[in-house]
Amino acid sequence: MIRKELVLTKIIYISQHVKIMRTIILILFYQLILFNCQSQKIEIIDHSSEDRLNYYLANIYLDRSSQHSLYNDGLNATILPFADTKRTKIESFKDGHEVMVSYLISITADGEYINSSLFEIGPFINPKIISVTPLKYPNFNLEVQDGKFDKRQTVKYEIKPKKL
Amino acid sequence: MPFKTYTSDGKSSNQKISQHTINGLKFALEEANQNLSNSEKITSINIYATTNGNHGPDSNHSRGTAVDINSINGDRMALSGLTNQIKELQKAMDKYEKVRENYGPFFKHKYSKETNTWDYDKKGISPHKDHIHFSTR
Repeated sequence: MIRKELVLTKIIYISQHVKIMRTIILILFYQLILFNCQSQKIEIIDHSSEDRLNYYLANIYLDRSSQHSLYNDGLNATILPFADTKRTKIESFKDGHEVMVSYLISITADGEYINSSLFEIGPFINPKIISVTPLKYPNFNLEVQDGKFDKRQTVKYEIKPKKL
Repeated sequence: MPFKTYTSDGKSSNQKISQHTINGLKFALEEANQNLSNSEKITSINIYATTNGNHGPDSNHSRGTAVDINSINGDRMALSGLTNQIKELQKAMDKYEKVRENYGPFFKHKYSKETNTWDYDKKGISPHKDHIHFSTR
């Protein structure tokens, strides 16, 4: 009889122990889910008040952007043309409302956690990039042709990135 | 309808555009002429720009749904200033069922297809004293 009670007490003890263990495991499991959810929290950030950023992104010609690899892939120049409506000289376009174009030039070194430099050049009339050529690292030349169809001119501009 | 132009790309303004833009032009010309005297009737307009020229990335010119008119009956708007013909043409363009933008020397109106309302004082665009920019949706 005493032996039976002892066995029963042991079974109850084990049962309670399993319940506690199960509760602990469940708490840990939910904590893990919660932790993962927190690390992937999606945020919507409103940049509407950042006028300059807004202006660039709203006016970029994505289909005309280009990337130029220089110095054996050690330096990359991404050139993004955008309609520079604010700096368009109305007197340059009589009888219509064409826009002038400027370039945003983002320069990065290769590798992870990159530094970058950012330049803006313009405004141009109907520009075309003729070449991007290295000079002395990290400087390079950007050759741009622009102007009305009957008065095109080509000019080289030296870009000097400092923060790479 | 002449296509005299000298946009920066040197391309002709005689390019393909959407049928509803052409229909809008026809409608507006007929409507305007009903309100003009015989001596003032519009007999020709010069299409200065369609898809030619350099426009913004979201411009209706690039989509082929906009035209720029810079002269009526051979008179450049830059020299003639605001005339009855410009007024009647712009008023008629506003009546076209698929109008989107109607910017010119007389006024600058934009129809919102999203809310079915008009913006009768469109801000932030160039003066449009020498041409009418007409686009459709």
